[in-house]
Amino acid sequence: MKRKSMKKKQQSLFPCTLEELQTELKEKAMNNNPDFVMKIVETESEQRIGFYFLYTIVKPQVLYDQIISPVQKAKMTLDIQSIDHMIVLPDSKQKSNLDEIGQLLIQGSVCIYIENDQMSLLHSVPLQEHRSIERAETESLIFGPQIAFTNSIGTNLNMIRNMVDTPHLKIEKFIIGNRIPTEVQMMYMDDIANDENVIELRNRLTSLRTEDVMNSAVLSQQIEDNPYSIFPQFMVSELPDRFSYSIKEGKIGILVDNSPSGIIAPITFSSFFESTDDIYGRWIIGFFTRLMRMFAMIVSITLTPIYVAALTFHYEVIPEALLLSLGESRNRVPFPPLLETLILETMMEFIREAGARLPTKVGQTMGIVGGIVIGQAVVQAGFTSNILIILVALSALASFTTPDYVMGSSLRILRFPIIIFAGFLGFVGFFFMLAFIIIHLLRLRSLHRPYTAPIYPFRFTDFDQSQVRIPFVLNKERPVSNLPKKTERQGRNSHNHPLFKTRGKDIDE
Amino acid sequence: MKNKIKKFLIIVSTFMLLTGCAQERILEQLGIITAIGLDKGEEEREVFGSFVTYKFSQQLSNESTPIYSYGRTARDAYNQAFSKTAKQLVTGQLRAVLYGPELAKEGIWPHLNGLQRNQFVTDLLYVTVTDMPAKEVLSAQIYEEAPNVGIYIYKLLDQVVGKEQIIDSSLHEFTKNYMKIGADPITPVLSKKDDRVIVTGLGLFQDDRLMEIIDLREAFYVRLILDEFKAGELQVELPTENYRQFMEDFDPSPEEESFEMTVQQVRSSSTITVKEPENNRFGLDINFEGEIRELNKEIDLESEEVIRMLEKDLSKIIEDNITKILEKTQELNVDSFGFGTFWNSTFKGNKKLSEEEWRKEYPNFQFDVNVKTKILRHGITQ
Repeated sequence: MKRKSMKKKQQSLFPCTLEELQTELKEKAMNNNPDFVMKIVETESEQRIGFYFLYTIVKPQVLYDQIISPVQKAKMTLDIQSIDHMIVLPDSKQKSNLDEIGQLLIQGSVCIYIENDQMSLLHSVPLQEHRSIERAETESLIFGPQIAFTNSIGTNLNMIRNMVDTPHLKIEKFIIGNRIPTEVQMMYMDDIANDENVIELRNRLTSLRTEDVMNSAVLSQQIEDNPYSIFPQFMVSELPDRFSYSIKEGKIGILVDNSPSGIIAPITFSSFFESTDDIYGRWIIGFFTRLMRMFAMIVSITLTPIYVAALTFHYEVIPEALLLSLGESRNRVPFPPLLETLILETMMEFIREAGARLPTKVGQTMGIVGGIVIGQAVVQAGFTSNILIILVALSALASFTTPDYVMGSSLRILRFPIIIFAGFLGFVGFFFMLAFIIIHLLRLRSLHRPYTAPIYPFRFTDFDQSQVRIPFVLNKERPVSNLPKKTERQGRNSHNHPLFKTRGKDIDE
Repeated sequence: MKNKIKKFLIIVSTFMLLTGCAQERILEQLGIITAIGLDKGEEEREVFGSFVTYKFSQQLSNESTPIYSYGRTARDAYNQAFSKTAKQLVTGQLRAVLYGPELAKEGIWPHLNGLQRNQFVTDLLYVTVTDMPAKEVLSAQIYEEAPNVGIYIYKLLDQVVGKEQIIDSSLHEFTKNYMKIGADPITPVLSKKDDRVIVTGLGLFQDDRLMEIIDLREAFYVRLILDEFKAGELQVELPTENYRQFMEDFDPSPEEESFEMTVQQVRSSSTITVKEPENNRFGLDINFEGEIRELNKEIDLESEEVIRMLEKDLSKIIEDNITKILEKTQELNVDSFGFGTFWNSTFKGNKKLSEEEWRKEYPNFQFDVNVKTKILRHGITQ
């Protein structure tokens, strides 16, 4: 009741003078912000018109050219409708509530008020400073456009619109955040994307209650199926080409304002090991690299635990050719294999983290110091065996082949519990932990869709587009794991392409 | 949520409690035994064991001394050896076990079944006998690039078996032939010469008792009966007399009475059939193919006649040798080739072959040996 009465009191402010409105706005709505300004224009018909805005957040050029200057030049007597007609900007609102006006001013609007009028007119001319389109840094590519999303949702949408220019691209807009509202755009192909997925994701976005959304990485964690899991269940990519490719295959994309990356959903475990490079390159290269990445993933989480288990418990399994060199290098090490491995793995993480945090120029030096100096000295000092250095370096290297950094980091961390289990219980512990992870993966869902999709539930037809990559001639259907509305790719004629029909001519024919 | 925490705690505590159960065997703290030598001890029913282990130190010289100990059984000797080294002795990488001649003549099964029961010991372990005390053989100091003499023996036997000079004799094979009525085990025989371990032949066992040692030349024929050749080699001595006319082109008057011929790329197969079960008559058909590799006299190999003659002579030599070996085994009553099992199979389940019957009848077995030889190529001579 009290609030209602306050509202009534505020609404009763109009009509008022320009100065009154200024003080009211500045004190009540603008919290005495120093960048709040008022400009008064007197027209020929001797009307006083006030322009209220925050000068840090409006585009000054647009403000002057499109709003102030036409009003100034007006000859007739102006009312709020005629001003609105004069200004050719798309986003206009008429408000009389002081709080709402304040809110819009903060988002980059200009408030136009004719003295002693009942209403004020608001036009949105926001200034958004952001980086220009730059090269992708975290997900670098060899082929492909190599551009990354920027902070501006407008620019990002523009890129996606250009890449997927079909009317079937449907975009839905949400405003999320109670304290600081943020614009979120969900987009999908309405003729391909599965309806259930769209409804599910829409529900999650609309039912999300949160103070603010920092960026898409945060949003993806807020709407995940299992927030306790170590594995990411949505992919956050900074590559517009990857984003648009996923949308075209029937997935759903989400863009968040002020965030240089987009969310792709639903996702499967194997899609974290795919890169758009596999598609740009020839199929046999893509085929090989995808299999290699899968292999590297397995190597990166099993290599050092196997070393620990074999050296602590299972000397029987060590091949006789390796036994002597292993024994010789282990002979000087004062720690049990478990501790030795944990020390070296931690050291590796130090180097990686230091390299990531330091400025690029120092970071390189750090890599050399860490990799060569420490690595060499550690073996010379008899701290660890040199075979372990090779294994740790190899598994670290293998973990960096994962195109998605978040997934790569998850796998690297996952190695530690496996090592500890292997160190305490040998191969029993190793396989226990491995089984534990596999069970967890099998239970995991992304938008209620199975995470391990083409492997379990087994869908043989999807293997050619996830685990391996086949030539486009054979690629007739969209992956069924996305449950697309249309599986058949439209209007394909690559099998009877004119190129295949001509016999070709030699130079002397 | 509470349930989840409870579950998690149960898992973690189980893990913590279970860690004590696993016995740690950290690599560098182990004395990993690669070969065991067993000899007859000084006292009655005493065994003298020699244990060859890995040495993980780069500084020490290549010299290796096995650990020696006495015990009532092989297992006991192994346990006694614990007090003689700072390292924990383990048998998971055991590659060969050597039995001294005296022990082998008494029977090796009492000292072998412990290995056979041990889950850490591989079934592919080589069971061998030595013609001098096993201790002597294992004290050999030259073992090429191998880290110790045990691995050297393993590699040596691998190489010899790979070249098809002798038949494979793993712990599994030995146990199988020992347990089976109708077959007797065979093992390689090792010896030491010029401070290195060498293979000298095959030991023929009756049950678990070593009866006879045959040399490597005879071992070829043992393999010919028992197994098939894929790439073996055979050297034979042929009389000059019949070939004199074909040699004259090259050498007017060959003086030596015999010449040597080496056949390589030998492929062979053998089939044993029971011809007359009531008379215990067996047929032994051997197909033998090979290429002439070496002749120390030049013969006109272009003529068909020579090749036919060579094939015929070769067949005869092989037949003679096989017959000789068979006679020897019958004399010793050692059924190394498992004719007993073939005989047993003719009973068609009506009755089982008994040990006594087999031992009684084996010396009276009769064999029709039939060898078919074919010389495929004789190489480029011009």
